[in-house]
Amino acid sequence: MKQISMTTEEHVTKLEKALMAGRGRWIADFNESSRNCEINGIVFDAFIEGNTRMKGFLLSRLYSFLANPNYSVGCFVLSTKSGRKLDPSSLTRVLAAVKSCMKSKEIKWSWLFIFSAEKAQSLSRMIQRIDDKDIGAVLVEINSREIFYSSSYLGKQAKRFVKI
Amino acid sequence: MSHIYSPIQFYSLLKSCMIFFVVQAVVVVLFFSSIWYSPPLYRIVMFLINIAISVFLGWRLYKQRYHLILSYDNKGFTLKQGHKEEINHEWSEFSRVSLIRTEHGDFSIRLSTNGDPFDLPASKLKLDPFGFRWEVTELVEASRKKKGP
Repeated sequence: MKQISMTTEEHVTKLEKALMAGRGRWIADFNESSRNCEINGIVFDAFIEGNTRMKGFLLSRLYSFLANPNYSVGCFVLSTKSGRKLDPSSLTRVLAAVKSCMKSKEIKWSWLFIFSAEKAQSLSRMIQRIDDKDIGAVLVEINSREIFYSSSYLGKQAKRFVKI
Repeated sequence: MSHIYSPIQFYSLLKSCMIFFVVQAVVVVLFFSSIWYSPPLYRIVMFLINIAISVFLGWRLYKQRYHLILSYDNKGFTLKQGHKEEINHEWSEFSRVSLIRTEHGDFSIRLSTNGDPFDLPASKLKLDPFGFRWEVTELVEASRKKKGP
């Protein structure tokens, strides 16, 4: 198990547990989670997969079948591990990895969560400028308890996933 | 060091007992309808006998079909369900470990390679799925390192 700063690790675990327990049900049912998952050379702290069509019992299953689209979704989680600095250029690589994974796994919508222990002004500006409608990006600055998110609908709604 | 987990799954046990209870109740209602006109004490005794038989047969059915036994060490694991054949795997056979939630809300540890995945039912074995996932990840990584490329 790779050790990272406790606070950041706790936040990643908290988000993973919340999504796996159904916090994202307003939009998708997340049901598979991998930790320290390498995707196109980027090691994500967590990669959680799901589907917008929820499983359930009779009526909820029928409702989901009739009302919800059948989209695969993914949630990519990154944190500032010891020694790993996230700057705008590395964010570009991360986004490229996310898009490539979306293409290979036929994922329609994705969320990218970045947990940072330090202030990251340039990164936060870049996160806010992302306007890809299929990716919702969120930067969580743990110490200052601030959340920055991308301008897309998914980005604006993604803050519902995290509580700090 | 070897670890063995074989907790009783109360839901499966209850399900097994209920099957026999319902079968007996249906038999009594259909073929011994005169029981409704018998004294209350007799009915209570019959009811208690019904429960006792359900528990006895339910326990037998549970042990035969549902009871899970997981044993594992540094090399691999063995999973046995009821009287079915044991499933043995070595950790080095797998390269990817993930945590999955089934549609019933149970958590399992999914071990996969390029082939079919194998799920270890963590919730049914009363293991903390998040903690057990890390333990399995370490075992898989250590085993693959030992085996080499």
